[in-house]
Amino acid sequence: MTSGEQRASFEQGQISEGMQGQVRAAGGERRNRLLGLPLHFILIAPTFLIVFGLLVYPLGYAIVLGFSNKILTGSVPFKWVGLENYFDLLEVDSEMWTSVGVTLRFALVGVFFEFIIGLSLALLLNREFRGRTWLRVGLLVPLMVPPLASGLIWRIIYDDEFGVFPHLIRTVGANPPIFLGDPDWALYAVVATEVWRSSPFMVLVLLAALQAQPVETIEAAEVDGASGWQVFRLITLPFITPVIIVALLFRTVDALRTFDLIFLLTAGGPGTTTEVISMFIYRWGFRHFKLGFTSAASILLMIATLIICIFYLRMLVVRQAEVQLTQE
Amino acid sequence: MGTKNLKRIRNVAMVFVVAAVWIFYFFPIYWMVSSSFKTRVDTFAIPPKWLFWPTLQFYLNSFTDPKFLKVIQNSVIITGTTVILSLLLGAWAAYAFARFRFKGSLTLSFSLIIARMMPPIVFIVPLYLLFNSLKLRNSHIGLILVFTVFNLPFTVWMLKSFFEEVPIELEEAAWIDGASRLQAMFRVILPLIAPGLAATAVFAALLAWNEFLFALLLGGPDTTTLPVFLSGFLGERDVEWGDIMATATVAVLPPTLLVMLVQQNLIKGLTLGAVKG
Repeated sequence: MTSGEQRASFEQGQISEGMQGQVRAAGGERRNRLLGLPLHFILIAPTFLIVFGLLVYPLGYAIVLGFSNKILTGSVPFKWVGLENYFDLLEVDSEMWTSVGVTLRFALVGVFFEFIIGLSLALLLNREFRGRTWLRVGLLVPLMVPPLASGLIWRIIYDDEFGVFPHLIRTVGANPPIFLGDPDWALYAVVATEVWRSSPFMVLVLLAALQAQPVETIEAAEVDGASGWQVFRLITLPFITPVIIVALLFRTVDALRTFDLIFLLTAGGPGTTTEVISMFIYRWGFRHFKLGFTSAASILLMIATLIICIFYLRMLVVRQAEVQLTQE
Repeated sequence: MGTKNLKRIRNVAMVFVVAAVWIFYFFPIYWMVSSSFKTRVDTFAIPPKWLFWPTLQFYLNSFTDPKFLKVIQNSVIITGTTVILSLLLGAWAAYAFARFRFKGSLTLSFSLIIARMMPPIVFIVPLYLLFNSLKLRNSHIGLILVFTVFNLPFTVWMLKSFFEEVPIELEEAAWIDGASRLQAMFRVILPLIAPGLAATAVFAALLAWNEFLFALLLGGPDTTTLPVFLSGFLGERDVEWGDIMATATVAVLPPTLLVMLVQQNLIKGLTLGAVKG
């Protein structure tokens, strides 16, 4: 694809427009039915049948289980316990809050640095300079690495015996901590790995948004005497905000989903200092086998994820309404 | 004179920035690949060895190990079937969402996004019990079904964005020539979005190939996939890093090559078609 074509495809706008080209009225009636049923119904049926069977039904099952004391090994007789699991989970000094704290720190610190690095590198890559293509290709690589493998890679890099990173710190004369074994450091060592793995996502998505920006508006502003910072703040930033919101949404919920990476790097330890919420659920479900309790925790996690999704999606909608108002 | 010097300083600074960024992102990969060629002695060398005599020992070990070959076979079978299934099922739904507006169409399509956003761990306990009672644990079919379900939201949204890029007029022209909707879809639309289908297939393959949680907890000895196999190394008492890194390199290589092929659709693939790039 030539750069001209690329720019043309960028200019089609970056947020997908949604429902385009619905059925035009006349003559469509017969065409849109099959076996006496509306065609769209038949088309979506297979997808939703399997989604219902393997997502919605299990979710309902989890809600029911959440009110029970079910234990996988059956060592305790099954009993309905009402809201007891939820009370245990939400108690002020429960382990869940520790895990929520870890998850929040993991997500917020991680996404913050990913965004800073992402935006700076995207702005950098939006300019012409030697080595630009190389930089872009280098960025692609961490994205391809499964979280699991990146966990393994960073384990040998962090290793306090033969790892490169502690070694480098030793050569400059400092005394490195045991990165993955020190309660004060483990979480940040894990965050650094996550930033390494995920910041290219930010870079590439924000870069796509920057390149979709019409050159004319920037040129016009520069002719009117706007400084580089003013152009960025008043023209570029508002233009890419919707994409920023989408990118932040994806990264935040992905941080909540994180399991593989931490499973491999620290398995939640030392202690519970890196036990993100997925690890917490895994431990109670598959180490202590308390499936009722675990189901209740799953439901709480589901609700939290829903709230975050709605928060971001609303921001996106409000943002787009604002843009429309200013355009009118 | 002053500005010339300033420019030179800026150029030099730029070189350093590019080099630093490149090292940050590329070094860990280099370290993985190089460690897979290091003998045990070289891996544990202090200080770390930058120059070493490469050995193919670990690759030979892996590829002559029937257990490892079985793992690769599992991964390929499960990934391949998952991709085919999710495209076969997803394409219909994607077309429906792109071309019809019906009661509940927005709700249904957005509920798929929400399903994609949900942490998979939320579903693990009920799925585990369900799989136990249906005797689906430790079976290829079971994993394929689960992988497909978690791939479908992605496939549907990605394909939907490709369908939407095709002007409806093309389809209408085919209808006027007497084609039915499905005929028009097969003969006119699908050939047009073939590159999009390929890109979607690649990303779906990437998701399935790397999937770990379900493979670990719903799978078993007969269905061990590469990620599960990789994680198993750490449980061993005497960790052989050369073996691990050789296996990791083998696990990373196919997806990397595939994604390079569909680079121009990368951004779309990463954001379910929400951002074009």
